[in-house]
Amino acid sequence: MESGGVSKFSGMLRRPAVLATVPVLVLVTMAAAQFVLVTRHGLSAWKGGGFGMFSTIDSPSNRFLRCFLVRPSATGTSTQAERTRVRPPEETRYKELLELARAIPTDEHLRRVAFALRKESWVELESPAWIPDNSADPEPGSDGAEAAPRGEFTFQQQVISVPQSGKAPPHAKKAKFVGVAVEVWRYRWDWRALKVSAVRMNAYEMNLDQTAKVKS
Amino acid sequence: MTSAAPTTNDVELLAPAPAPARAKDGRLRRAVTWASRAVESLDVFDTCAIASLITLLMYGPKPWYARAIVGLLGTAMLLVPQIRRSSVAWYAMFCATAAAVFLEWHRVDNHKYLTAYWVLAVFVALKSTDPARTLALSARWILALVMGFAVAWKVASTDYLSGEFFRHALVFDPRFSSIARLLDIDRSVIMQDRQALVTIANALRPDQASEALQSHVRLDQIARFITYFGLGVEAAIAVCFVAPARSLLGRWRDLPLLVFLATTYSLATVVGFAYLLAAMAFAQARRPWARLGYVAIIPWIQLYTMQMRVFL
Repeated sequence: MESGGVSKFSGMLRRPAVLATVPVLVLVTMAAAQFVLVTRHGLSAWKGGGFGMFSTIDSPSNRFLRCFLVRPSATGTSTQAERTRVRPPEETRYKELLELARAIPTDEHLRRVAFALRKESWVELESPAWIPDNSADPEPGSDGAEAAPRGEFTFQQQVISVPQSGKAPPHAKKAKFVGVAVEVWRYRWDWRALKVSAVRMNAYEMNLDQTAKVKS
Repeated sequence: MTSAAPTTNDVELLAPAPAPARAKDGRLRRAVTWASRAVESLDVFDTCAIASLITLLMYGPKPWYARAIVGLLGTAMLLVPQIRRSSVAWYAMFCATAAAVFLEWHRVDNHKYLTAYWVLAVFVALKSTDPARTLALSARWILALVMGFAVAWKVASTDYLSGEFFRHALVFDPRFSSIARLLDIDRSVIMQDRQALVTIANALRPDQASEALQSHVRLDQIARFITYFGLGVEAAIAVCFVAPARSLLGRWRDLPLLVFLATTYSLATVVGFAYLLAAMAFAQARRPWARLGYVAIIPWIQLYTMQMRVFL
């Protein structure tokens, strides 16, 4: 009797109408999770498997990061700290971190970027150099689109990171900093008024001695 | 009563069409009939499995671990029908595609998720009492939901219905650059808009910076047309696939999907997505013309993509 009941149940489970719902339920569950991440945590609707691609301009390539070293001012007091914009090193792990922070700029993802930058060794150049910024300039193909041609997000850099295996440029001295700040911005388009501006989505500031957070 | 024998001129007038045109028409009809019969004779499940495997091998997951499994196992499955019918093999394929999505969830595009769902659908179909019917049911509801979610996101978006999204995509998205080139849009218009972004990102205070964009009437018009055409076709697919199969909408559900495949992927050349949708569509199609259409759409997209690459 019992084995008959089990086989009946197993037979019922193997019906097309029952088994066909399995991938459908997985799809619906993932789409629901993506909806929550988009509405509550700032995930771009393009990502996360909710089928929101081609529905909004706000794709990860339309977001950019700005990274800063918080440095003591010339007077030397931390209350008068100033920010120096820096470029994250060109390494695979940074590519991952920056992509994640752009796609879903939660405090945790910005903290990971800030924590990685804090561990780098930074040097101050004798004179500023123009170097492309990979944090603002998206890797083409992350969502297929590109906000601007690669290499154009260039800014004058006073402080650069030195790879662990590499050598610092001549006459460069170690840069002092008291913290690291990371900001995620997205472009705000108004095609009717023919204007583009930017709005800050999230920001995170980490001190060397303690962790502090500044939200937009 | 006697009737006069028809003259040569009368015979010519009575003839329905000139002989060469009739022969051409006949050849075309014979070719379509032959193709329809050839498609009808295909095993639906096996054809879908082969199409899915080819799609996986050509446009599958990118991480090395998933690519290795998909490459080795996929080739074996293509060559050996017994492995192709093995649920264990499809489960391994599902694990590889799902792992690639799970580990890079924030980066991968929607069709990579769809690939994983579809491989799962093939796996569970092989566990059922009727694999072809199970696959057809999964395909129908996956297609309905994918289009339904796509429409919902577009309607909820703040910049889609206004046409702003496609106005932006025509300038900034390389997948749509062919349209801008076909319309002969001045390249300087595009470059000036791109330069505006650089200026803002590099501003001392980006929140206080604002840059002017270039006006282009033809781009606006084409953007508005693509917006409403795309939304209309996707909504039609969602409604037709949700409608009961025997209803009027249900009977014609393949038509909007064929229109979508033929038009959308000619513009946005996401070939992997198109192939996957065609395989799913073939699995659920019941009518011969629809199955023939889904098979024919593959070379259409391939030829169009190649032609775009050559001429633009």
